[in-house]
Amino acid sequence: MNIEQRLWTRENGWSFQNGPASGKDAQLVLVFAATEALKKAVFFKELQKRYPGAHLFGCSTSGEICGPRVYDDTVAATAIHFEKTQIAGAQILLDSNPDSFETGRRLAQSIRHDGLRHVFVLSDGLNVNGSALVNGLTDEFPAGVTITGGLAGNGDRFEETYVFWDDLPSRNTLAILGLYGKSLEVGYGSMGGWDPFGPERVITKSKGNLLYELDGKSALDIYRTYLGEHAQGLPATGLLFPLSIRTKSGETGIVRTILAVHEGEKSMTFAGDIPQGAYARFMKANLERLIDGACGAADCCRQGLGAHSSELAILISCVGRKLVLKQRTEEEVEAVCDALGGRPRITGFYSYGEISPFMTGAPSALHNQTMTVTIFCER
Amino acid sequence: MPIKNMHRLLKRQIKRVFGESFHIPADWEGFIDLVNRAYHESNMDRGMLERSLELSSQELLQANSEMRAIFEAVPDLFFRVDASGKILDCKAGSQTPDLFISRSNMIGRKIDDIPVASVAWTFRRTLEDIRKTRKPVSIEYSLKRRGVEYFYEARWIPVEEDQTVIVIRNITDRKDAVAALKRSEEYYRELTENSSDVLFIVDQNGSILYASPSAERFTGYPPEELIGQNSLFLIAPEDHARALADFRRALKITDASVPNTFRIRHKNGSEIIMEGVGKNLLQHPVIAGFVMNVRDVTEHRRAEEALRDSEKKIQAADRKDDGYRLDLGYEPEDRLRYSVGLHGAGIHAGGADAPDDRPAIYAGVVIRRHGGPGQRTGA
Repeated sequence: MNIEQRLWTRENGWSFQNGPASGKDAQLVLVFAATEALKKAVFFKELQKRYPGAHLFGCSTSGEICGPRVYDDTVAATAIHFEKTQIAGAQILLDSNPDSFETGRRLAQSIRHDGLRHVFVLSDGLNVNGSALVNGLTDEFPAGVTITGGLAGNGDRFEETYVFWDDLPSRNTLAILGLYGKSLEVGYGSMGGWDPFGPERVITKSKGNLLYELDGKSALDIYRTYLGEHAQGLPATGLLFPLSIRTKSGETGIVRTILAVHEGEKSMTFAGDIPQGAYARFMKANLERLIDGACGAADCCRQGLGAHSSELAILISCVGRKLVLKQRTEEEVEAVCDALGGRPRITGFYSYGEISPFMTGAPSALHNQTMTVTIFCER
Repeated sequence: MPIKNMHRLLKRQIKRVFGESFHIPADWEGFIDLVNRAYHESNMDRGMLERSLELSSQELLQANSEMRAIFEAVPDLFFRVDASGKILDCKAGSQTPDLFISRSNMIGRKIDDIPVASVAWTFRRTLEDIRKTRKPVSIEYSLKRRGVEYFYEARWIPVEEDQTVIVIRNITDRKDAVAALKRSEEYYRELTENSSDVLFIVDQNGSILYASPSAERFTGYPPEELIGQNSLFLIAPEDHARALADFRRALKITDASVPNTFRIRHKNGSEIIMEGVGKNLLQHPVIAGFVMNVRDVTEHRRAEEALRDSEKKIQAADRKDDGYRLDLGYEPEDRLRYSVGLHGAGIHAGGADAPDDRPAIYAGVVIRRHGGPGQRTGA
């Protein structure tokens, strides 16, 4: 695997990270960029020109990860030349009234399944129920095909997200990358580090990923009460209090964060399912535990890869973590870099949702407020 | 450019270290600005955390108060046990009656450590079931103390961390009440089944809500065939109009029983006369119907009718007899008053309570003429 990384910043334009490599032979360029940058076709055309034989695959973000650093308002491009692995990809548009499960199935059908080893998905971040999307993908792919990826971001604005595969970045789009061949080794891990607090509430009214009531009271009002003066920053400030949701006694809760609020009907859109009748608790951040969580995700990845050392790591972390970690955001990326060792090239982005199994062997699922790491190497 | 809104602590620290007259050099400003922002962000985070903890503490305190009130109000004993059945906590409200178990020294003992072997065995088995299924279970058991059997209900509810909450209630009173109710029901069932009367309960439209088992004896229909039918279907068609009018009148009377007589059609086609009383209990919270207690008076009515027929004939004979008649000197009204209905061939007998100055038994014998002058016979 040969990897070349370039970063565009407003101040310096394009620059190489870790020096130039044999990018000309790249089959794939992963592009994670700020929304405003992606809206300008010039970046896309520059990358097409630079890597003429490569597929361009990427999305808008809430922060770009390139090496151990986190950037805003940049374009991070990682050109990859696989020595033994084949790739295929596609993009689809969301229907006007999308059924996320069917969308997942349709996306899965857009690539061939023979010899498929791993799938990496980038999805629109605002108009998709991530849980249903992953269920649709899982339903369609043969057993043994692992799925990781994330929901595109848009800073802390929650207004528009862009995704692309070999086409100009567009809204309401999902794209998929299929990796084929027995030589490819993939490791993955996802961890949070948030702590539930306060009373457990019953989800008394919800539909899909829309939440209306907790314990018979307006969920939006409860959020407002807890946020106080910060309520005016909703939906972004709602990420400071994600929900831990469990459906059965003793079950480990899954974490869900807000994507949008609807004042008229007093509802909130979450990135994944909010099952009616399940139990929800607010969660709070403990910065050290968040950073430990990121490190844990990387450790989990390494265990999945066995004796092989990774060459490429894609980090997808939730924008909610970035809002909480603030100036310490890079600490979680540094922690992952330290855990993975010095060899792998690191790229990734801050997202509106992460897709990965929690650990090796577990089914893929949508996560929120996690650091999700996928590592690759070719034997 | 001076730093705006410098945090008080940072300002004080700079003054303490560099002196009152110190001005931040221009090339330090970027660094100091980041430090200043970190101070403010820390304040904001701390404020939000404190606010959320205070709010959740209030909510938990309220929930705790409500729970305490529930404990006080219900006559139950609560145990929380671990997976091995060890009692971790035990609570009882002021309403909890003596369960013959000392509450002191309970913590740390096993829930199945009960002197009665059969109950201990039941508890052990229930605990094993709960461990496997993690589903709530309800069991009943009894304990004998000083010759009296006490009954208990134990509800086992699995909770977090492989623990189980057991709610034990003394249900002896309830058991006694149920047994008494059963006895009472049997008593009244025997009464109604063996009664010579029939009990009907109808709604305001005359639909039969209840018919006692004895109804079958008189109508030929078992109660299950009568219930739901309109009572008119039992009543002879020629009595329908009167029965309806009587029923409507009776519905207006709520403070007295209303007598009535009507003919009903037996399932076998024969006609019987029933007489009884009805009472409007439509407003009664339990009965909510019009209650009719009726009996078969067919034989009695037929005897009366025959007697009336006989008397009419006697009167007719008195007025127009052109045959032979043995008259003992009583007036016709006396004979009527003392008649007991001995009929046949024109024989008429007086009662034993005839006037003292008259014979105890009298007989008037009329020998009717059949197509010619009557014959006189003796008595």
